Amino acid sequence: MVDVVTAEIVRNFMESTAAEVVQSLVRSAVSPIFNEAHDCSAGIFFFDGETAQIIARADATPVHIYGALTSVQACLDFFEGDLNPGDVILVSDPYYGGTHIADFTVVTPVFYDGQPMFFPSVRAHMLDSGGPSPSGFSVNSREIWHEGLRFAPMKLVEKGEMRQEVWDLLIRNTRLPETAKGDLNAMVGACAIGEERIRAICDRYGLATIRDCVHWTFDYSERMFRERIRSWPNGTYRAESTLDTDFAGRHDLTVRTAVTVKDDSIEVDFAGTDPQSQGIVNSVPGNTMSYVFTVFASLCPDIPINSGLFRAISANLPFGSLVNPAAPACAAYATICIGCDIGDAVMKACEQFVPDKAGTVSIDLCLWWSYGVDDRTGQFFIHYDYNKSPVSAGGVKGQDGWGAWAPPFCALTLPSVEVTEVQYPCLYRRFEMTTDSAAPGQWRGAPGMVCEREVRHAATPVLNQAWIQALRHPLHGYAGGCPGSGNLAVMLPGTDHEQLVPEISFENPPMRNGDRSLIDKGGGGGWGDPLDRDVEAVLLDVVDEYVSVEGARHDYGVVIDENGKSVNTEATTRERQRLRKARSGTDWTALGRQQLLQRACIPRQRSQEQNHA
Amino acid sequence: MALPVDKVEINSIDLEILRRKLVAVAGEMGLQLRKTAQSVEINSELDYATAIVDRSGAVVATDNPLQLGTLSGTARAVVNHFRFNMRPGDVVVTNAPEYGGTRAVDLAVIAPLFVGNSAVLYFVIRARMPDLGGMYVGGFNPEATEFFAEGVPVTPLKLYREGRESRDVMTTLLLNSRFPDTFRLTLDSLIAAMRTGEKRVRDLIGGYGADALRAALNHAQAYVAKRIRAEMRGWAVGSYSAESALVRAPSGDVVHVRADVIVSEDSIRIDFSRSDPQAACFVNSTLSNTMGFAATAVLAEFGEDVPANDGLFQVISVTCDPGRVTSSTSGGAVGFSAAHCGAEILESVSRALRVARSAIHGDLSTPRMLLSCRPGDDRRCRVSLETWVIGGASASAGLDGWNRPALLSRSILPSVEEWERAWPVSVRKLEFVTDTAGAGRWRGAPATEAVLRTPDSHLITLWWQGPVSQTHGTAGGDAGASPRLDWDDAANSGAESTLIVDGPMPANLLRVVGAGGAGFGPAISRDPTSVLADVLDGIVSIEAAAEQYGVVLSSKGRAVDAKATARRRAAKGG
Repeated sequence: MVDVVTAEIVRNFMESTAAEVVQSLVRSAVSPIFNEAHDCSAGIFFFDGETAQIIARADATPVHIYGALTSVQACLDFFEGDLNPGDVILVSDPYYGGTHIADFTVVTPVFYDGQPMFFPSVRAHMLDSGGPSPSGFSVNSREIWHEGLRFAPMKLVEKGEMRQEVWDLLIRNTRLPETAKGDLNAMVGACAIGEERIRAICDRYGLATIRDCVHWTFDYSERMFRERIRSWPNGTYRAESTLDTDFAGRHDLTVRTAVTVKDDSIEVDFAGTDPQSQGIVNSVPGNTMSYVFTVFASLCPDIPINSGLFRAISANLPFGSLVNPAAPACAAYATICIGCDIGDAVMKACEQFVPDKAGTVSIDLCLWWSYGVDDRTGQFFIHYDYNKSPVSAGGVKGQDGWGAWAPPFCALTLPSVEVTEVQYPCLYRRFEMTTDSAAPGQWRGAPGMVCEREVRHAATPVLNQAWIQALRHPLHGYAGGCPGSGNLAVMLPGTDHEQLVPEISFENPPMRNGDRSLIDKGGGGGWGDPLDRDVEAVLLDVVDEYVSVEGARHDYGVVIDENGKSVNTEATTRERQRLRKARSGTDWTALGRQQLLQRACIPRQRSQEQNHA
Repeated sequence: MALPVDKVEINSIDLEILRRKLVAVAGEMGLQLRKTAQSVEINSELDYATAIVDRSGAVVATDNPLQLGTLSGTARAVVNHFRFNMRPGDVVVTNAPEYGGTRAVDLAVIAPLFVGNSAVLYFVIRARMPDLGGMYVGGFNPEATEFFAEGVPVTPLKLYREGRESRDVMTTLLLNSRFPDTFRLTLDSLIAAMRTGEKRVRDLIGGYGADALRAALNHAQAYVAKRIRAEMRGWAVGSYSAESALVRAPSGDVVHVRADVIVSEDSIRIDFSRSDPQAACFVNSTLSNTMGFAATAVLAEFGEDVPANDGLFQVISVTCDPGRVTSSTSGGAVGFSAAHCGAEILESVSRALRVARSAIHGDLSTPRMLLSCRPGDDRRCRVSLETWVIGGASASAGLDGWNRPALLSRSILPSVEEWERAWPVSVRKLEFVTDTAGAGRWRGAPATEAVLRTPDSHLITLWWQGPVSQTHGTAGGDAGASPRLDWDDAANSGAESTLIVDGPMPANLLRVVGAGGAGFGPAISRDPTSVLADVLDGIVSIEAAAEQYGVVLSSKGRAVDAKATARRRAAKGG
């Protein structure tokens, strides 16, 4: 019988080891995607003869670490009977576990007393891995080969020696070899730190004790989660979430789910989900399950997240659908879309039995990739601008949305604008929150942001890809809260060549120094009826310019005095009564979303923000 | 004469026997590969090359002179890469341009033959694999601006280590092909062919000894160098420059390949540095590929009597500054280089050499077309319509052109019936076109017209230079007719297209005519009875016989009117 205190010490040790591994990675990697945006993660995995299980994870966006679980499993399956101390395995192919080609998983088996039982692993988004399109994201992609080199599980290091030939292959299949060298070394080095720490704790307690502690950890999470499920009403809850476009000609792609709560287990059935896409939005099983697990982990923030928690969850993923495509379907963008709709659909189903815990767990797509040559270095660059893509935090009961990403994605950090300007040939002209973009609710979502960037110091015309989702299907609101206001982009704003980008820009003319692009992003959904929002909180939002006086009245029924600093209580009471009656049983649209849709329908119109500027 | 080699004396007869046996072994490897491989790229198009190379990677014997540069380049790079890490049973695979390769689908496998603790020689086979990633099946992507868009660059990897398959390497390779099963079978065929080569060479070692074999490796190369130097006697020493141009689709921009050739008494230096810069499309050539085509142009001056091996490069040097269309950097698109600019490399060198010596042959190539289609719902299918775009060979001194240009046409033309059974396209017509052969004392081969009907809903990929391209006459001979491409509905948009990439077909019926071969020597000096025979065969019309050859026919075109012909030819200055 394991001592609970020891078990908890070991569990926390594993958690802190995972954190240390990822810290090592972000502090030693070269790519801003690692060291600034933290689009990487670490996990400690366990194998006791059957399947790989995750003990602890850190800095993990949902798709990373649960995706890594399937990748690690694929590595163990592949090298069964052929694993040695000193080996380091790398895999990237989404049909060998994982999510998309861009996410490389590096895993190191830790042999202790002759047994490979622990596997520190890192997973990170590589800026480029060959293939016909830089970065692997292209509207022209129709097959997995269009997204980059597919790495089956390969030994990058064998018995302690780097396999130079595999290394050469890796480095040859990227357009950014110097960056890749630094990042891959950082990944291998981070795993080595994980191994060192695991050996230390095994030395301290002995392998048998550690093994018992790990099993205790799994059992603990499982027990806690099953108890939680028992507190939820039995039943089957259906919901769906829809993606605007697959960037390949299809629109309104819908994920349908039925979540069944039965005693102490959960079954998630995606029957009825739309067929797989020809484009790049298909979600392989590792990615799909990542979002399923993320939802339930979010509903139970007090339960340690590990494979024990997952034991109570089973899923049906129809083959050939968006959530389980047949190879060689593309999968590059599945980590966000359709992945986020998977998370949203499951969360909307859960909203029906645990509304007090429901909220935005996803992000939506508002990305801007740029390619060109930096005049200051003479080097080719691929700029994956996280600063143009954040904002999705929604409100939850008792808490307004705040910051940028939805909580499960908060491992990602916004790169510093100044550092980004050093690393890439650009200048940020604007980067600020926008009024009335926060999804109204009793607890509102985070305000959206507008980001305007100028090309500067480019040696060549800069090619751009803007990828926009959620103009028509923004992030959901919960428990009566409003959806997010949605996203759009504008190329060359304020010029005669201004062009709205409602979904995708791919073949637009390249930009030259001085040309600007703008992204206008909405936030995550609100929670609860906006008419129930505390009046003083609305006033505070008006004072902070998150909400306009007009918006306060339109969305919240709060009438602000002419001085803009106080509330007309009587008028507010009347207005709220009127709105409550008027909205009863009807759909209504928040002011910020109305304004965004208006801008989207008038391509040549300069945005309101532009006029203010 | 006896040659001292490592304290072993071998007579020159044995050396020559060994040299010829090595050539035979390379040939047998190729034949076995052809018989066992299940891909059409190998068993029908014969797009492969086998070689035996020495310890430095120098080619000693090959079955495909056109790939001499890439065989040598790849072998040297791989041998050097694994100089201290090659073991018996290893098999290395690569396609990377910086390791001597060219196209992504041209995969090379290299295996050592060990005697004792040292590698005596290596076997190399380069073969076109059915697919290796990239945007389109087979790596044919006219819009490619970089190698990545054509396929996966594979740096040298040990596919087998000491006889044991590297499962992770093999799996990754197969994952990156749209046809993993065929890919695997082809790899097995390649390796089996090398095993046969090893068995044959071990038999030779059993009979003659390893030292004798080593001596033969040197002898084979020295023999070629010696033969070439002997053949060069009589060539005019000097500097010669020539160029050949291709037209880029769809812009119509012209890309020039320029060869500066310096012929001295015992060497030939060929430099392509004045060629146009590397192009942002798939017509670039790696330096290794350029060396192969340049070497072929030189070998063409000697006929089949001089074998192809690295001895050639003891006499000939081929250079080019990096970043030219003839020496693309490793990231450049090179998917069509086996056709263009390979042909331009060949022609530019050949034209320069035809000045250094009296010309004995005309153009060695013909304009090529990339033409394929696929069902709209099947991205893995590639129906190679270019099979039926048949250009004619140009004439040589003393010989009319016939069939396709021999040097660039290893592939076997399939029977129409067999082909139609395999593909969903019917060949409605396939026959020579009158008056497409370039006139000359020796006329070029006529072009062939093919009428093809494709099913509905097929997409097409097309790249060609347009009707401006043609073969060029030599020594007063006339150019061959330009190639043509017509759609059923000529008014349909796209009829004039020179570039369509995976797009809708303008019509379901298309008519393609390859370029006619060019003539050699003045047409008015052609034997009138030969002209008559051509007329009777439908190769030349009665009108063209009179107009181009000055041959007047009588009896409804069944006899030569000798007097009228003499008058007409006299009037034409003959």
